[in-house]
Amino acid sequence: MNISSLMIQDALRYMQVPKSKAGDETLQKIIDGFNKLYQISTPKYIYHSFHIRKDNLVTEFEGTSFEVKSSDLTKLFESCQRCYLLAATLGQSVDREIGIKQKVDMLDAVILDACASVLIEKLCDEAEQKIAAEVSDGEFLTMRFSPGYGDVPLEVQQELIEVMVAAKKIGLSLTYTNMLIPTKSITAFIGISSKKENRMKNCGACNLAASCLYKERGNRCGL
Amino acid sequence: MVYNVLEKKRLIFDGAMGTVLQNRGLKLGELPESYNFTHAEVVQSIHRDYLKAGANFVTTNTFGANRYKMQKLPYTVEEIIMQAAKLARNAAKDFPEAYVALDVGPSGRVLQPVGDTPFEEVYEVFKEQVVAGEKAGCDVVLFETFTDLYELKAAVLAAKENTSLPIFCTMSFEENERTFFGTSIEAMVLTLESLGVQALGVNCSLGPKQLVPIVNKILRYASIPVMIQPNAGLPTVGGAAATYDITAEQFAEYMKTFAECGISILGGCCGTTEEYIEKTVKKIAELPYLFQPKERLTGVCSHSEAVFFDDVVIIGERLNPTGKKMLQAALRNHDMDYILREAIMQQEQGAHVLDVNMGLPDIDEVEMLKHAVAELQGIITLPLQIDSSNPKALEAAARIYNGKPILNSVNGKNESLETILPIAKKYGACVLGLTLDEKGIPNSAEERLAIAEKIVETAVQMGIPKQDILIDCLVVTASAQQDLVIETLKAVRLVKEKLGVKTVLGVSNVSFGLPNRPVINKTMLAMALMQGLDAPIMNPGDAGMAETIRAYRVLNGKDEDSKEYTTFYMDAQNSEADKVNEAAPKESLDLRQSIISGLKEETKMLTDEHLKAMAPLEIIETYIVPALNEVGILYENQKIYLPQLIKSAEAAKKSFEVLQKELVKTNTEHTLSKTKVVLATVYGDIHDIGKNIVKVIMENYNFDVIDLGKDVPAEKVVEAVKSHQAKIVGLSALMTTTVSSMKDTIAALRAQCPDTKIIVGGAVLTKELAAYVNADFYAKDAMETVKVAQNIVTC
Repeated sequence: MNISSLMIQDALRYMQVPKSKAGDETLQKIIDGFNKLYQISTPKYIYHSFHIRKDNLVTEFEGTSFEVKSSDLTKLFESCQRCYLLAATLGQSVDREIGIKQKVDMLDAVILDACASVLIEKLCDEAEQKIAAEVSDGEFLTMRFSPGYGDVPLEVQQELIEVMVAAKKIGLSLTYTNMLIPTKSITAFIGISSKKENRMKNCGACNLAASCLYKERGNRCGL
Repeated sequence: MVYNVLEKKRLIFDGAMGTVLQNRGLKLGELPESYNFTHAEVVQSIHRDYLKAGANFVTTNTFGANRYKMQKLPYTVEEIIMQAAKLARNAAKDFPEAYVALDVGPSGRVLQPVGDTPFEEVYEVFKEQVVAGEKAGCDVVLFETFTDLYELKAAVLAAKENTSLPIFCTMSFEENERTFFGTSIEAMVLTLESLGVQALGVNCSLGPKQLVPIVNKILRYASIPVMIQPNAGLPTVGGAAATYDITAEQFAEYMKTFAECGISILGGCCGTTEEYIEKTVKKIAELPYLFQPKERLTGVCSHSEAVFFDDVVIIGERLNPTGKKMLQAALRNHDMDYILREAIMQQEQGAHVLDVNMGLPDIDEVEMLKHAVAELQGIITLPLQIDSSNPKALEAAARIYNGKPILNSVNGKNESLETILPIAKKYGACVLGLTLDEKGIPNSAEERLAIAEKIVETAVQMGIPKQDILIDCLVVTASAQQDLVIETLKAVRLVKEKLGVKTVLGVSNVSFGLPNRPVINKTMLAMALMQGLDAPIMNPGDAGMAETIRAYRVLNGKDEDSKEYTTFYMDAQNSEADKVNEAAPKESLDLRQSIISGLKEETKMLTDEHLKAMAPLEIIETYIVPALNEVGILYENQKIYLPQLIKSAEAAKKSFEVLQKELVKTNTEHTLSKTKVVLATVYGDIHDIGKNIVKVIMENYNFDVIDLGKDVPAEKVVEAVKSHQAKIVGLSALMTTTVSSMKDTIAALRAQCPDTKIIVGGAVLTKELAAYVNADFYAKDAMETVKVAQNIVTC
């Protein structure tokens, strides 16, 4: 399996290590981490397109009972008539392996955790590329917008997962507090817009803005 | 009665309900169960169509009718199930041979420790469903589409303990022959059969074509009727409202093949309609049916891995505090990490099953054993042998065990047989029988055989299959009872020959009191294996015994072409060579430098070296403390980053482990006075790697960390602070949504432990949020937590 330098850089970023300061050993451990994950993970994703109706701050997904009240989502879908729902996961065995590593060697665990975070984003990129290939000329993808981001409450996870039949299809579940299990999983909205969209995430809508080290340094996280 | 037809004729279940309702207007995300009230005639007509097509069973429209999922409907779970069962029964009126199956799908929650739902809570949820189903007149309960064996076990227990309904179970497998939760086919069959369900099998997720290898494997192991309900092929579009790629005709063709292979119960899942069932019924009408149960195998399993006793099975003995001071100390301190590390190490050393004994005179063994089993099965994939002389502890642990365990142990005393065997029967466990009775351990092999025979006979009478009984003929010490060693070995042979059950021995007991114990142990092992010993209970890290087993497996032909033997010694040679290369340039390192560089092995070696001339406390002050201080400064000045910080901490930990061992040995453990800190990820939050980093770092700076884990309710934090009299609490939250839970926890602490200082951290936390939740301090990372805590201590 391919491990790009960008993937390594992203893993370092999750551990807050500047690229120039990572020693050979850390770099090697990151490569080992990716290889381990390629071996044990069971990556799966599903996506589906829905026509949307917007009524003031509420977005309705046609053919379903699903609706979301959010000004951020309405803004995201400003030039959209339809959108995709996406759900992706690396599978339960990744959580277990990170759990085991935490008992044996914390460094390995932290690195594996960072690598897994990189891979789940990468899996979403892969799904997104497929979606991009499905849309017509003159249609553009908005950025990936996940529940919990901006004013989209985590509670929408419940219906999102029901609508996607994500429990049966890829094994996603929720805790009482609407966190995804397996933990290395992502759900997201991707709007299909009639104009080219800025696909970079916006610090204003990010819940980590106040504590973000990148922002403090005047940078962006790059997501 | 379902029992009148089960195993006597091939039975046909209906096809899909959910996808058929979708075709008739059910919106995605809408609860199908609502249709029992709003579109009763539609649901009833679907049932009728399936019966007309030739199904013997219709399944109630209650897949998700549990307390968690039905909150949005204005009906109770019982009302929904009553209504759904009424529709199915109404439809079945005109069909004299029709049965109604209560449909029960997964709860939608994930059980602890992976998720946040307690085993007993989900048990209650299923209980409510099955009790209502029986009341509503259902003939059988169908637990279907499960992917978590643990949740399914809770469901089966709920049905077994609260109804008299026959139980059919199906799980959904992926093409890698595992469920989403990692359950293997072998583990499913072993666990469900032992729990006493009436039929088991597979449904959903795949089409019949992809199910072929999975079904074949189930048939290889199952000794009860097997059931399948495939989807109508694979979904043709990636989305939610899927259509499927197999026609009714093709489906029926596959189902015919399955029937020929010996499947007893056939039906359909997503995408199938009455047409699929009708064609299937026609296609198989002429096929004769003969249920031929397979012979059971002796096997145990965790949720994911099965171990069959057809080759030498190593049962790891090290999770037993008898004679192990470090483990005793860990148990008293509730140091689960020590226990888990010990388990992981035994797994790496080649153990196949782990014995777990948590018995110490001054601890609550029932709670401790249950807790240890719960933690172990969240991490370790090896099956467990639950070991206790306290039947209550055995039962509590067997109940929550995720798989099929061994219970250690029963013996020939009537009291023991009457208490322990029912536990094994109820929870579907293998049981280890010791050849002793009211009169103690008999001298002769023949008398031990007689006790073994009594155990086997009593168990079989209670309905425990012979294959689930293992016999331990009991090893005596050669130094005290030399002439009896040979009787033990003879007894092993007799038990194998006369009773045909598997045998177990705690081999290393033989060498107590003799010098050079390893030689005696490995020789005894070789002798016992020759007598037919199947499973030694031993230290898998004992090189001599492991070596004996490797050689034995070459000589008895289990290790084909000596492949494993050869590979092992090739690998060993290579790693020896690596070690020599690595060790060479680092000789001049001192302990301080070794910790700063984060070299675990060197740190351990150097600590051992220093112990020859220095006291543990002196080593800490001369080397470890200065090293850690320097690491702290380097980190702060961004000369090193998180990976190196953790690496140094892990190295220092090695050093502390060596010193701790020394302190325990000399009984001076209390000379290390440490400040107690309670750490927890707050209720509702399941992300704990950040908190665990804090723990690793803090432990090196003289803090005694009581780690409560993740998703910890406020009252548990309060309780721990009180019982440990902790001065400092560290709370972590990753998500904005759980910050409120942090606030509640702090409020509870303020009310009940006013003197405790509270530090908070986590991805979303800021100084402002820390003030908002009323914490005393905010720490941005692990190092800062240490600093803040040190300041609290010195104030």
